Amino acid sequence: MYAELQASSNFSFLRGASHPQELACAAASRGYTAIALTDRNTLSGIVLAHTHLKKDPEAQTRFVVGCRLDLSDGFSLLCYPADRKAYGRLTRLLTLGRCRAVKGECLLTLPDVAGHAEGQHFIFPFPQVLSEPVIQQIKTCRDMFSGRFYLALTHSCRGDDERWIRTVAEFAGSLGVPVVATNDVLYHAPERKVLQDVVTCIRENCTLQQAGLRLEANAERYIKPPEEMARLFAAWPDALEATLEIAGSCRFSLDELRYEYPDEITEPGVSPLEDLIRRTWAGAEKRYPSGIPDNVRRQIEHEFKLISAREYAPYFLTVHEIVKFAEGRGILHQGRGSAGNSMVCYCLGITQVDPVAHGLLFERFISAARNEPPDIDVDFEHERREEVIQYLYEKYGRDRAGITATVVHYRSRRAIREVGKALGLSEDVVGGLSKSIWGWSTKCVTGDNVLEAGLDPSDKRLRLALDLSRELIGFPRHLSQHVGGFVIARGRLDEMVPIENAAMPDRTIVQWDKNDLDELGMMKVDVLALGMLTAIRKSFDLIERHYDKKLTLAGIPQEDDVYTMLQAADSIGVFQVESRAQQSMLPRLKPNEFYDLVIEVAIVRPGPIQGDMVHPYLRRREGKETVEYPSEALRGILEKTLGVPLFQEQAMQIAITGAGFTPDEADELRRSLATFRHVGTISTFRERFLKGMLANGYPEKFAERCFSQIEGFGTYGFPESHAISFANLVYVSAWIKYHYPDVFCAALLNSQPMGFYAPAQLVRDARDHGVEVRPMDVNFSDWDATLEPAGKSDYYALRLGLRMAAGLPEKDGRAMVEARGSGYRSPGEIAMRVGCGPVALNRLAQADAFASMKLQRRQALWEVSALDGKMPPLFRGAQQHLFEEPETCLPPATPGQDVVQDYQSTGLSLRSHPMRFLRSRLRARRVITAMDVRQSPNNKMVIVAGLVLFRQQPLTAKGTIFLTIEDETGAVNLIVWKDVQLKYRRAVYTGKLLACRGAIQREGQVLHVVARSIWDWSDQLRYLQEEKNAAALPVRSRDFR
Amino acid sequence: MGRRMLCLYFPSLAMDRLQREDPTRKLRPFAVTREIKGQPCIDAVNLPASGAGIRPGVRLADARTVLPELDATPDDPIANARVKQRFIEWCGRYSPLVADDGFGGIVLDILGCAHLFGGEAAMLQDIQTRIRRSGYRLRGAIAGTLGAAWALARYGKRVIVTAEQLHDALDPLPINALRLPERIISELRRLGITSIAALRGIPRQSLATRYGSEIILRLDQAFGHAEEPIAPYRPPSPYRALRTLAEPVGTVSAVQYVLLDLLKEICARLEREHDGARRLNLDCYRVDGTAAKCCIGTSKPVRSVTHLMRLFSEKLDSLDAGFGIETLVLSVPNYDEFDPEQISFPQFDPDQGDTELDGFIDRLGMRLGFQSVCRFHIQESLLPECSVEFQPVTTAGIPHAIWPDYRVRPVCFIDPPARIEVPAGSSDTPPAQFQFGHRLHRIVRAEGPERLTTEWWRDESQPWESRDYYRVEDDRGDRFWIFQERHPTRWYLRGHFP
Repeated sequence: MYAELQASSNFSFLRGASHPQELACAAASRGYTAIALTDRNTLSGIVLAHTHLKKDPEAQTRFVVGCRLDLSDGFSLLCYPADRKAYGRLTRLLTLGRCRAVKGECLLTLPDVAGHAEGQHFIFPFPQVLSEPVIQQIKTCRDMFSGRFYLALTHSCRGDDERWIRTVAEFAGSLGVPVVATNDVLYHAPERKVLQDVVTCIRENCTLQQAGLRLEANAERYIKPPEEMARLFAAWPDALEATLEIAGSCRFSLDELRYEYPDEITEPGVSPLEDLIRRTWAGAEKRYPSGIPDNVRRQIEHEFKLISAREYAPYFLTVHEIVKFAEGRGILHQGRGSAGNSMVCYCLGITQVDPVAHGLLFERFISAARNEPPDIDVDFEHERREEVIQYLYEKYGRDRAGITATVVHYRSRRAIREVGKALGLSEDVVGGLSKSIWGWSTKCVTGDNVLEAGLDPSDKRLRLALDLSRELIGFPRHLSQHVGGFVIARGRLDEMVPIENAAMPDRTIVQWDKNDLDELGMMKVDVLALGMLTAIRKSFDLIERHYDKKLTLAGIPQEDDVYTMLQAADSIGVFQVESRAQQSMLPRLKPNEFYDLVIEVAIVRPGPIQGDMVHPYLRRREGKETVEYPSEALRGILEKTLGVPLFQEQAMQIAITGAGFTPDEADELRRSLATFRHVGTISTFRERFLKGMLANGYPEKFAERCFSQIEGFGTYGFPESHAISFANLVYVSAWIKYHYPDVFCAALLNSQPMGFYAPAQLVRDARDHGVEVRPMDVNFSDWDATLEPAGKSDYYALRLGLRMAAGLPEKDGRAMVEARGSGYRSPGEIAMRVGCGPVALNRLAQADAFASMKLQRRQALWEVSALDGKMPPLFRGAQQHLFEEPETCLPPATPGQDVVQDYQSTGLSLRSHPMRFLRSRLRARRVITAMDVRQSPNNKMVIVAGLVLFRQQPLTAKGTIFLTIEDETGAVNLIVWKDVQLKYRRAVYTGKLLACRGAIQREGQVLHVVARSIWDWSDQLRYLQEEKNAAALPVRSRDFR
Repeated sequence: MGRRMLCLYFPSLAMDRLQREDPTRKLRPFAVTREIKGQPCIDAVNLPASGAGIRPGVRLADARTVLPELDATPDDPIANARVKQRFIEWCGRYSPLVADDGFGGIVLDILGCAHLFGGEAAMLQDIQTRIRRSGYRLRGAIAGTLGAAWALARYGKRVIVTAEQLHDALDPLPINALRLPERIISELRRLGITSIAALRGIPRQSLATRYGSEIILRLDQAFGHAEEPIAPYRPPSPYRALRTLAEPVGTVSAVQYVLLDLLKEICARLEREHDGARRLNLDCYRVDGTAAKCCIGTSKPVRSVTHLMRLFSEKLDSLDAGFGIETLVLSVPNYDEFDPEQISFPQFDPDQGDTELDGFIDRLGMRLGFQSVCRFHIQESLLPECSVEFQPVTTAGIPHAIWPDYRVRPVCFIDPPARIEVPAGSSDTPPAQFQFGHRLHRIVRAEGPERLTTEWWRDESQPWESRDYYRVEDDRGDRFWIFQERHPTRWYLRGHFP
């Protein structure tokens, strides 16, 4: 009988070498009475260990909550709360220490601990020496925590163990401090010693050869069999007995934490449900001014039943409070998530999609089987989300509200890099290996990667590095903040979970991540940022100002013309469907009603693509394939999507209905794919899934496709409810683009950076739609892009804003607009009146923003450079007139030079496209324009050339690269297969101006050029400037992986 | 008569240096890299690499995407400077006034020298041929000013320009040829001012108000309107002291007397220049024209007269004065930097004994050779056989590794360990007896085990294992360090304790 009270998991970053659940599992299988996790100043790992033991029906081992407090004077104490109250004191103590220090650190002293010591048991870790300070510290602790203070004895096989343990035990006896046996565990099994050595090296930033005494001498710090512990401590039965005694008196369990919704949300004297009902009906009346239809009424009442049964009313109210705040501030928002598309949410104004009107009757908006809080995410304008966050902190206080943590794990690239360094592999080898891994992969480095990096896969040291990095992948590295998950509690949140500082100022996070909170049934609201909402709000403002129309997200009419525009893939700037993959999907899917947009949004995602669901769906839609269902049972689930599972919910339901999973299991399956928690369990799920499907009579192929789709969903999940909310934004933004291209472009430019396209393409698209775009000018432009009356055009003219001038500080730009009055006559006058430095004026001169003063770019630069930055602002303008300057004649810029400088200073040029200057040269090489390509027949071999806009290599495309190039007449999409890539590697990866010979491929309206050869003609760009040693054209492609 | 300046420019010094070091680099794509914002970037490429499309300026990682087999080495500015320094010294054969031009090249003031080499053209040709032969690419130019020669060496078509041709030669050159800061160059380019001629077309006053006086200074220097002195290189004078005696001496004490005087002089200069001697030669020239030599070396830089005197006196005994010595020359062929030391109170100085110890070590070294005087160094390794190293004292520094007290190690270490026979017993316990050779040791006291894991990363083919070490004492009071290997169970004797 033994209880381990000192165990560090890998949440003691770079010290422990096992996951908390591995420790718990090992302790359970060894038959321990209890195990405590004592990570350093953190409780991050405890939920994992706790739930693991709870879910294992055979485990007899109890989990004891504990923590190792590393004090700032160099000593450590192990602390175990005995009951709920003591636990709250521990979390408050940790919050205190964490909030004092910078991110990731903790500052605590013994007096702090003493202030929170009630109800805690303490163990002093086994001392390596008994120096005077150690003795003093032990004496102080004994006096402070008498009766609840123990001294640990640890047998570490260091040579003199018997003698040293006796010395320490006798010393403890002389002080009257009881002793307790621990094994100071760092890993669950001795084999992990190797990984422990490696993480030690990572921590100490050295190689194994250099690490020396910093490594553990042996592999004894694992979960030993209780008999072994009994043998080692045979001479100290008291110490063994004490482990059970402490474990016995620390009865606190995480199950005791009960989450309670905050009080403030309801008015006093009214129950949350009553309040919700009242607010919902009030909202419904506003939504349906001409009377609430019967079916809506029925739906609302039905939802109330579910909400009251599960007592979710406070949750809806909490979200409603946040939304109300945003509404009051005029911050645009939209809710999504499984509960988001309920009628209640629509009436409360949380979402803007009328579920009844769109036929989205959500029977199962709350998973009845899972006892889990409903899920509503709310998107806010990205520029103003911080206001909402700070409102939440202020309203509930930092001790009651916190952002969810995200545990940042080791991924393959980092893992192989760190392990390689510890093993002393050369920078070259390590760099080569990590380079061969795509992006954020969590897949392990394989022999293929090694070959690709030009290394020998049979090299033993390399193999060792690969094996170890495989083990390291999934280890937590540090805590970061979740994108927007807020936890708000009724009482003190810091008595439930420690709160600590995030890297960003003014942000505090809790130590648990989203899954931990879910496990404990704690409620969170996702407060997210969305750039498109900013753009839409700015559009609404402009429309109101210039076209005198007041619009809201909910009030946009459904119009066929908007769908016609989308069918023609005219979607640059439109939310979600602007990417190249979406653009080529639009003409094939031909959306003509709202639900088609929902599918459009969901279909171009890794899930359906990986599951090979896209083509069957398109075939069925085009009527080339009959719609059939694998079974009647699945008909209900798949009817909406023509028998092809496209949404996450559908995949989960197939698992339940088709493969016989319980809803709980299906959910666990989804989560196991999304995280690293159940490494190795995926294959068992897969087996079960396939077996279940076969047993229920489904074809094996279908089953396999479904499972690979579920795999795809795991990491890039897109449930229907999210797709619906997004589709609404797709429609709204498309509607604005169709009716007000001038407004749309201005709003997008003013919300940068966001979206897929750079300002150059947005402006070009607006001009293609008949919008006049005017250059930036200090006398006409605001900081943002604005609309100006334009003669005969249907639209306003778009005036570019000063924000486009690279390097111009916002403060200066806004001040110039502010002080403009009736206009400026010279740069000197601006300097004098605004008091801005010569740097700001120089940036404006480079952007050619002084045209209204009859100053061309070069002349303006010359004028501006005469203004002395050291002069007090008042004199800057006057100085010019002190002495008359001789007339200076600067060489005029060629059109090519102007375009290059436009690109340099604003990222776009209204004068001309750079390719136009090269056209005569290109024509001589039989290069045709993008326009010509559009008119060429299928399969024709052509040569095109253009600036690279995008380079994409989607994970799902098996190594194919998609390139988009642009010339003065438009963009051309190139497809580069793997073999062509290898041959023209350099051009494909690094060229700025590419020429491509290839065959035209048409599929309906979708047009690609399939590359046969690709050349890098970037050198040609220097002809733009017509001189040698000229700076290259500063175009940058956006590269995606 | 104006000046004549010759400028040398090495377009690819680092690349040439590295290709000289390893000529095989010429045959494969090879690049020199420099770190920019923590990322290695290509600084220079050789012919095969540029043929494959690698251009300077891109990140090494990106270049490797294009050309995975690209070999690269980081630049070493110190090595480059050393090469350049060698060339500066070598150029002394052409002119006494040679200097680093401060902008990456070498400048020679060749006024009055050129005719010795057959005129300016022949001289330039000679320099270029010789340097190119040694594997370095080179461009040179001669003009009336340093600024003009510098510009022509880098950007010019003509390489020898007279005072009359100066304007025509400089005007078409780009403004980069004026040694201006990058910032000013890019601003001027933005204005469309790209050539020196265009720049000269702008009123000087306007230029000065905008870009400061530097631009005017550089223009004037190039055209010879402003002076530009150079600071010629002077080789450092060697540590050397000499005494010529009025009367030849023959006794050791007389030589010692003179030597002391010489040492005082040398040591005073060593102290002034923050150096310490590592080797000293005393050359004694006898009256008959023969010479006797006497050398000493030290384990550390030294400039203490008494210390050096003691080392010399051990050698002087065997000095053969012959018919008498009339000249003594003391020189220091080998010296190191030796920073001034703070004088401290003896009781607070932990290294107080060291000066005496150093003296002792030097005397031992003088007699036995410094390679033979060694000391133990603790190596921070948990593997007993790796935890100590025996290193010559001259290989600098005393390591400050701290060894934990409880990890007791034997005084006498048996390497490789000796097999001992132990009757089978339970693991984790010390044996009751062991047999080593013919003798049976009955163990009366034991402590352990100290369990140590082998360093698993050293031999990747072997899985790591643990060894249990015990301290044992036999019935005769002898104490041993033995260990047990687990699989298969084997026992070894590893050392003796006192």
